[in-house]
Amino acid sequence: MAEVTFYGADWCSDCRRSKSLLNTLGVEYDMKDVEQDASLAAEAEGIAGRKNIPVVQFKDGHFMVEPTDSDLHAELSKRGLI
Amino acid sequence: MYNRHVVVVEDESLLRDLIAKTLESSGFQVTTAANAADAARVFKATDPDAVVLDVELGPGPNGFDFAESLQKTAPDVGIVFLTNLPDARFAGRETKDLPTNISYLRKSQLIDSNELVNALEAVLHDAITSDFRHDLEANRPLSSLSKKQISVLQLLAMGYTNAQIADKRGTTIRAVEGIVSRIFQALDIDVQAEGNARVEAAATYLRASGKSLSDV
Repeated sequence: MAEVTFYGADWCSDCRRSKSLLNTLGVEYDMKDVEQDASLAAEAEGIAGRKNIPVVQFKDGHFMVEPTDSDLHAELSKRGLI
Repeated sequence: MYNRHVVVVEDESLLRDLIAKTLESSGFQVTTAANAADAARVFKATDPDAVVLDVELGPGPNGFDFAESLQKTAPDVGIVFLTNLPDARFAGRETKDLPTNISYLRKSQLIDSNELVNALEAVLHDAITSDFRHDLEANRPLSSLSKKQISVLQLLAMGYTNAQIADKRGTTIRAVEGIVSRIFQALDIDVQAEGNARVEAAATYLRASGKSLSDV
């Protein structure tokens, strides 16, 4: 299991933004497409407590919903993932 | 189901309302704006996934100006241009300067609202095909004219003389005369024939940019 699980959809502009940040930084993540699979949508909503994506979850359970690039970057570096 | 949020930017209020209702009935969450300044405010507040964007938005920045600012601040937002203009050159831009992941629809070309929904889906799924790029069609109006010729033709249609056009463009009258005569050639307008070549050229321009002019 990767350090990061990413719940998103390809139509979602914030998902594209966060994904391209992860890709640029070379961070590996498990992609969970909430549009392809309703159970993943329910899973993401269960984590976030609301219907917003992306949801970025770390191995220890900590998660971020629709993070800004700078917040996500800060969290990744705090965790030593970049 | 997750909500896909779209901002509709259109200065004509009836059309704006119709587009919004169409998209809502296709499952989108919609917020509307009447001009570029309004759109910028709505954007900040709603963080949308895509925008359906008219180009001619009245006084102030046009749709291309707004798209350019979006490219800097939110390049991941999908853009569907929905306009009367055949291509970007009619607003003084080059087609190659537009973002690549866009749909460009001419209002007069659309048969029904499904086409708009399909174009929006294509933008959101990175699946643009030539069906959604009316500005690249070879048979669009005035496709044989250059950007420079189109902007001179636009000034001519607004009633400016060659001297005034030269003044506006910071060039010589002779240069403008040359451009105008090449425009007449390209439009197949016979300057020797009865009638007024400039008026004929102006009418051609107006029709091309979506204003209907019919004989009564």
